[in-house]
Amino acid sequence: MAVTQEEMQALVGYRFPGGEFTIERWENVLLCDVVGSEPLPDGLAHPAYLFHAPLAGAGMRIADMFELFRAESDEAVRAGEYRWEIHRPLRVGATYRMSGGVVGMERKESRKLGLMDVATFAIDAYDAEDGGLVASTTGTWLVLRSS
Amino acid sequence: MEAGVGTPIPEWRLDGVSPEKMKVFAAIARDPNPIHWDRREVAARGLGEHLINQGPVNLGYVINMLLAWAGPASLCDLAVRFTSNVFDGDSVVAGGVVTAVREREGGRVADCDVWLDRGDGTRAIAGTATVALPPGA
Repeated sequence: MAVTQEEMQALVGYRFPGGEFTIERWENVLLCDVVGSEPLPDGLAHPAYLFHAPLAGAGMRIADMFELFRAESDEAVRAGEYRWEIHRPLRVGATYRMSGGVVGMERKESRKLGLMDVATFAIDAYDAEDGGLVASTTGTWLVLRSS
Repeated sequence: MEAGVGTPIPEWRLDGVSPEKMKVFAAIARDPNPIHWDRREVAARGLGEHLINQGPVNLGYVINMLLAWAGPASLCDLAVRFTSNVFDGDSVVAGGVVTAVREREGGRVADCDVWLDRGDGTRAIAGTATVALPPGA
């Protein structure tokens, strides 16, 4: 059954469970390799972490996001936009507390992709030791609809 | 390093996006989308014969360009739009240009237009970034 615009709009304000994410050395090595980089010096973690670490730390797997957004299949979601503000560099071995939720939802018709819900979520990352704001992330995903 | 309005950022290139690295990222990010790791699923969906690279990995290439230029801890802000797919085997080039240099708390920063292009010239990412400039830049 088709998901209504009202059902999707009702997700605005939804809060993710929240939680923590630790940047493990081994994972940073793999992530750097994936994006074609050597590990960064001085214990810095690659900023590309700001895609999956906030979601994972906030208690949301990508599959959970697909379910929340009522995606019709695993390939019916496309990356739209990302906006990151980095207040402190991410560090290997550090633990971050993640807090966020859904902040926007808009139904659109695209000539190229057809009917879609444009879902926007925001997650802030805080240093788990001193509580300081480390990064603010906003992601917009395109959730494609067949009808 | 030079940083003035119009200064081009040295390009970052990758010859041949690896399908194996897409699989590693799918595991790291726990991304269930089969278009990143199963060619049969890609073909069955009419999306061609090549795996589709994850957007955040494409973004990682742009970040590499910025960090190589301004320093490993330089990235302050990034805002990008994904405009096209990148496929396994594609060559990609990340580029950018300085649009402003200004003072802000903590020192001088450069605002930049940034992008990622496939080898055929198709733009895959377009956006803006702000990086902290090293002293003397």
